[in-house]
Amino acid sequence: MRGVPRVLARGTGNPPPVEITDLLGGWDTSGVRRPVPVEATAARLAASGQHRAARLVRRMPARDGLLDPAAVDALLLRVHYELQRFEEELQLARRIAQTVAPWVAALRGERPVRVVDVGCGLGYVLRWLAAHDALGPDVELVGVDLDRRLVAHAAELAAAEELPCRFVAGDAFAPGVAAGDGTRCVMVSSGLLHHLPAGELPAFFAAQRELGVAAFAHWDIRPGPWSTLGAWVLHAARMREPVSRHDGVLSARRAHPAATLLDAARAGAPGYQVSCADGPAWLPRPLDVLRPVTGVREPAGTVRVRP
Amino acid sequence: MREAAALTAIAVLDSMFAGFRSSLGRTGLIRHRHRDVLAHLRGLALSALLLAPVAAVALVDVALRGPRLAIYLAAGRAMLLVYLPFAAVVLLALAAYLVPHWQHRFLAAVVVLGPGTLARPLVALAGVAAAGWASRDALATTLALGAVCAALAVEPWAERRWYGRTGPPGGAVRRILGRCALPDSPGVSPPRSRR
Repeated sequence: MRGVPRVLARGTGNPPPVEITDLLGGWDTSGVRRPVPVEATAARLAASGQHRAARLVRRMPARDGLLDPAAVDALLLRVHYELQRFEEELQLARRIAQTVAPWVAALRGERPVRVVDVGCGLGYVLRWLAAHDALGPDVELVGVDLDRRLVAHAAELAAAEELPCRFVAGDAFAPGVAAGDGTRCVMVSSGLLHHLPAGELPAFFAAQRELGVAAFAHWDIRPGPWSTLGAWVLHAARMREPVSRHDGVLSARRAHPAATLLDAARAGAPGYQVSCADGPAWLPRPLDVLRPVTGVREPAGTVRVRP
Repeated sequence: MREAAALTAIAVLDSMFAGFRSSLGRTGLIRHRHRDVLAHLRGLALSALLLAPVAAVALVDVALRGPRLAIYLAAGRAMLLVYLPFAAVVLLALAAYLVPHWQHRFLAAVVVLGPGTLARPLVALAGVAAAGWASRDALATTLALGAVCAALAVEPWAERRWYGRTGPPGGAVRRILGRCALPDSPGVSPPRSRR
């Protein structure tokens, strides 16, 4: 259970809680949604004590013991559209612009700088950056997600408002998919890290190092009792989908602490100056409810002494 | 009659905000100001429709039995005692949206407006209880309850009537879906969409 937030590690022997959408959103590499068996999914949720979530899954439309793929698609879309509304209230895109803009300015030169949103969903962050020209000229905005349907909607939304950004279905870390010339690429994500087990985090950062990205910044919820309370209140007030409410609160509960993220980033991406800070958990810091783990590639020849 | 005017003003604001909330998280657009304005107006129209019977019964009752006006005024004053502080806090938080710093908007949303939305039905019902306690009149209390139910019905009704569908306006997603190639490379730690 190392790396799993303590609140989720109680009652060892049971698997850790999982978000419902994590069990619904599987796509294989040929672009086909994997079938989702109702009972196995509900049983997985029940095994970690998520009986309400199990009931939600059992109430979803199904045929022959499998969830109706069209209904799953529609549900995931509704959840992501609601999530965008939430991101607007959290001022997520402004936060990202504030952090990334200086890096982009430093990289600006003869060739364009590329900003890649990993796991972009509906691409709200990139579309906002494009709509507000937040990073200045000569910046390519590329969103990547495995979910083809979300990517299609992101592209449609960008087209509807004539926004200069593009979206790709695939693995953001695969060569040739998104990063282009890694040295002129900044990778960002939001709300993605808590979907990865702690053990997979070093590989996540290592993949960016292998691409040679100039910098990365991955936002996630700062874990703690205030974040969990805030997530519960805001999701109850703002979200209509029961799945959104369930997964939103669980996101806050299973977010990785800064120490875990820092260890993973240092292990996976040596040669990057990484930072992430939580502060004391008992102190309510509503402005920092989302915080990034950042990494900036050190100039060649830099020698760092680890404490 | 200041009580009636103040309650009407609160009802107007509440219905517009209810219409606005019902429209959020549906189109996915970045620039949605004109849609927000439309949603406010739709909330207002629905509210007028729902509150009209309540207002009509109260007006007829006062027209037929003049002395009962005092009862309604007492009920209205009691409701205002509950609603005005709540409305003041909400309006103060909304004022933060006029300030250029995003931090103020964020704090207003997270600390006041979100919890305020959650507390709204309870505050509304507390106003009914106050009206009943102050007026000691069955009809006035029933009308207060009817008005509150009408106000609380605006958001779900607007959502059902106009905002049940999710997706970009005039979407042609299927056309684009066909153009989204998925590379075969498995890569490392495949990213998943955010929840």
